[in-house]
Amino acid sequence: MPKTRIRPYKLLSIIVALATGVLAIDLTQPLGVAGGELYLPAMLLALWLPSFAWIFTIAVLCTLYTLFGHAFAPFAGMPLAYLDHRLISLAIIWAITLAGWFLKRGETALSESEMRYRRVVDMVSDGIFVIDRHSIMRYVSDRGADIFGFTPRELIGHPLARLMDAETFQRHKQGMTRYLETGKPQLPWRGVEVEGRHRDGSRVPHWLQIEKYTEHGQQYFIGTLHDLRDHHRLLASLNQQEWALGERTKELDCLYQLSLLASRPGISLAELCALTVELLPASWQHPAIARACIYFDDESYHTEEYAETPWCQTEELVVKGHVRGSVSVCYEENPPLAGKDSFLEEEHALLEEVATRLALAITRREAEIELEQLNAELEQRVEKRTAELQLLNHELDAFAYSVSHDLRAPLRSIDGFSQALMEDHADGLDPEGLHYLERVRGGTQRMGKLIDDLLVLSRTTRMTLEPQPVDLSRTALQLLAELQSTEPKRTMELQVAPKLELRGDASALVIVLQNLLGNAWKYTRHVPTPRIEVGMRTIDGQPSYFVADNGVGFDMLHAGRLFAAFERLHPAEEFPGTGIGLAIVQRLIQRHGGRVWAEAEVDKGACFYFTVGEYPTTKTPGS
Amino acid sequence: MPSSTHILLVEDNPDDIELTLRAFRQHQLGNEISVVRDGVEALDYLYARGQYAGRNGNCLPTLILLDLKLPKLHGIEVLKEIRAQPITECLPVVILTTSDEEKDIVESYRNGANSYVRKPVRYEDFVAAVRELGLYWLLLNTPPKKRA
Repeated sequence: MPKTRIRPYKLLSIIVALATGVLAIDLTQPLGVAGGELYLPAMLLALWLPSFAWIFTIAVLCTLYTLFGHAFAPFAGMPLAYLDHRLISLAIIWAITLAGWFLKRGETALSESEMRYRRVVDMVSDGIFVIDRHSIMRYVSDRGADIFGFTPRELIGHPLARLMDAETFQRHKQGMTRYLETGKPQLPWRGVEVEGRHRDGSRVPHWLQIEKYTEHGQQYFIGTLHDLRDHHRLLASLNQQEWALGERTKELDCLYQLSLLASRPGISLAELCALTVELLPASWQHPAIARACIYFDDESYHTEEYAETPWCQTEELVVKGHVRGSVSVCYEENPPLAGKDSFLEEEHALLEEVATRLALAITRREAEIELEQLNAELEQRVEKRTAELQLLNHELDAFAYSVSHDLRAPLRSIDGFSQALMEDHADGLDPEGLHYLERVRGGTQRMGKLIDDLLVLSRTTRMTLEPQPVDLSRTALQLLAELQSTEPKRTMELQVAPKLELRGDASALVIVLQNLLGNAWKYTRHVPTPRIEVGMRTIDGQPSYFVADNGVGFDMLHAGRLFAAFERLHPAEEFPGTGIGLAIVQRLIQRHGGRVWAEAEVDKGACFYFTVGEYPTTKTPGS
Repeated sequence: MPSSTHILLVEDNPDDIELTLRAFRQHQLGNEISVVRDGVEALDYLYARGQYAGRNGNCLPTLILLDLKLPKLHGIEVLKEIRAQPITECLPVVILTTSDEEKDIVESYRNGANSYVRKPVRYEDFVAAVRELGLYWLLLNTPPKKRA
C-alpha cells in the first residue's frame, strides 16, 4: 500500500511546518503566542501519524520549541505567569502524547492482524469476492480479479454482470431475489461449479463457495472462487488421450489378430480373406456403421450389409509386385463430427498396414501351398518309385527263387542220370564215352556253383544289415581254421592282428572275409611258403582292414575288372571259381558305407583293403 | 499190411522221382515208396479220399518226403494240413527240395517240418543225403507207436 506510506511524510512535514511557523510567531510576537498553546493543533495532528515514535518525536520538537520560545521570546514582564502558561502547554502536549501512545498501541495490533489476513487473502490461489444485496462487487481480491483478467479496481463498485454472460447473470439475480425474499439459497453454500466469463470473452469455469454476513445492518455475500480451467483442460486432455489409446489398441489388436490368422497352419487363402474382413470394422472409430470388403483374385469377401458409399477408404493388395485385389472399409453414413475426411489419419495408416500385411501373408501362404504341393508330388513320386522298387524287388525275389529251384532241378537230372549211366551202363561205354560223361558232370557241377554264387550275390543286395560290434580277428581265425580243415596237409603261415574291432553286420562281414580269405587261400596254392596276413592300416585317416597274401597276384592294369561279376583274372582250370566272390564283397562293403580296393603285383601277391562306414557311397574303380 | 518202412514221396519232377527212387533202391531202403505228384494228391493219399478212397486210411507212411514247389497245393500248405489233422500230426515230415531260401526254411520249420534237406546238384551227394535220411528216419528214429 504505497499511497498510505506517502501520507505520513506529508502530514509530518505539515506538522513540522506548522510547529516551526508557530515558533516564528512566538519569537516575533510580543505576546509570546499565549504561552505555547499554538503547538497543540500540531500535536493533535500528530495523532494521525502512523506510529507512536513519530508522535513522540513531534512531542519532543514541540517541547523544545516551547522552551526555546520561552527563552528567546520578547515578552514584557510577568515572567512567572508566562512560564505557568508554557508549563500547562507542555503538560497538555505530553498528555496528548500519552493518549497517542495508548491509541497507537491498539492501532498497531489491529493493523498487524489485518495485514496478516490481507496477505492470506492475496496468497491463496482462490479468488475472493464480496457483493452486496444488489450484486455490486464490494471487495475483490487481486487473485479474484486476475482470474477474470481484471484488476480489483476495475471491478469494485461494478455489478457482477461484468463477470458473467447475460443469461447467467439473470439466473443469479433470480436466485438472489428469491433468497432475499424466502431466505432459501438457490445455490448450495458448500459449493457448486458455475461458469463465468473472462474479459476476453472465454469461459471461466470455477468452483464457487458462498457465505453470507452482515455488516452495519447490511447483508453481504462473500464468495470464494476456485479456477477450474486447468482442471478442465487436464480432464479434456486425459479424455482425448484415453480415446486415442482406445483407438490405437483397437488398431493394434486388429494387426495382432491378422498376424495370428496368417500364422494359422493350413489356412486357405479364401479363409484368410474371409476372416480378415471380419476383423476390420471393430478396429475403426465407428464400428457400428463400418463395413469392410476384400477383393482378391476376382473373389469378394465382405462383412454383412457391405455397400459402397461416399465414405470409403481403399488400399490395393499388392502381392509380389502385382495388384491382386483391394481392401476397403466404408461407413454406412458420414460419421458424426467428421471433418472433410471421414477417416482418421491413423485409420488410413491402419488400412495401409492391413493391406501390406495381408499381402505378405498371402505371399507366404502361397509359397507354403506351393511347397506343400511340391512335397505332396514328391511324396507321390517317392511312393510310386518305392512301389516300383518293391515290385522290382519282388520280381527279383521271384527270379532268385526260381533260379534256386528251377534251374538246379535240370542240373540235378543231368548229373544224376549221367551218374546212373556210368554206373548201370558202364559196359556199353568206351573210356572216351565215360570221359565225356565226366565232362558233362563237371559242367553241371560248375553251373550249380555258379547258380549258388549268383543267389548269394542277389541276397547280399537284399539282406538287412544290423550294425553291431564285430571282432574281425576272431572271425578271420575261425574262417582260416575252417579252410585249414579242408586241406589239413597244406602248411600256411598265418598272421592275424589282434583286436581288429569294427562296427558292421556280423554275417555280412563273415561273407566278406570268407571270400577274401578264400581267394588268398586259393591263389597261394602254388607258392612254396604261402602266407596270409590280416590286419589294419590307417589310410587317409580311415582305418582300412586288409587281407594280404604272397600268391600269384595280378597285374594292376586289370584291377578295374576285379570287382565286376563273372570277371576272372586267372584261368578256371588253374584256380576254380565263378568270378562272383569279389562282386559280393564289394556290394556288402558298399552297403556298409565303406569302400574296397586292391593292390597287387604279379607273382608277388595281392592285398585287399576295405573300410567300413566312413565313405558313404564312394564308387570304387571298375564298379 | 505194409512194411514198417513205408515212405511217401511228394514230388512233381519225374527226373527227381526216378533219381530218388534209384537212390533209395541203391541203399535197399525202398521197400515201399509211394509217390504222389502234387499237394492235393498227397492229402488225398494220406486221408484216403478222392482217387485213393479205396486205400486203408489207417495205414500211414513212416516218413513223408515233401517237395515245396508243387502243383495245385504248395508244399507248405500240405505241411500245414498234415499238422492240423490229428491223425497225421505226429508224422515225420522231411522237406526235400531244391530251394535254400531262408524264407522257405523258416516257414517249413515254423509249420512243423522235422527236417529240411536241400537236394545237392552232385548226384553222389544226393545219394549220400538220401542214404542218411533213410538211415536216420527209418531205422534210427523212433516214431510214436500210437496212432489215432
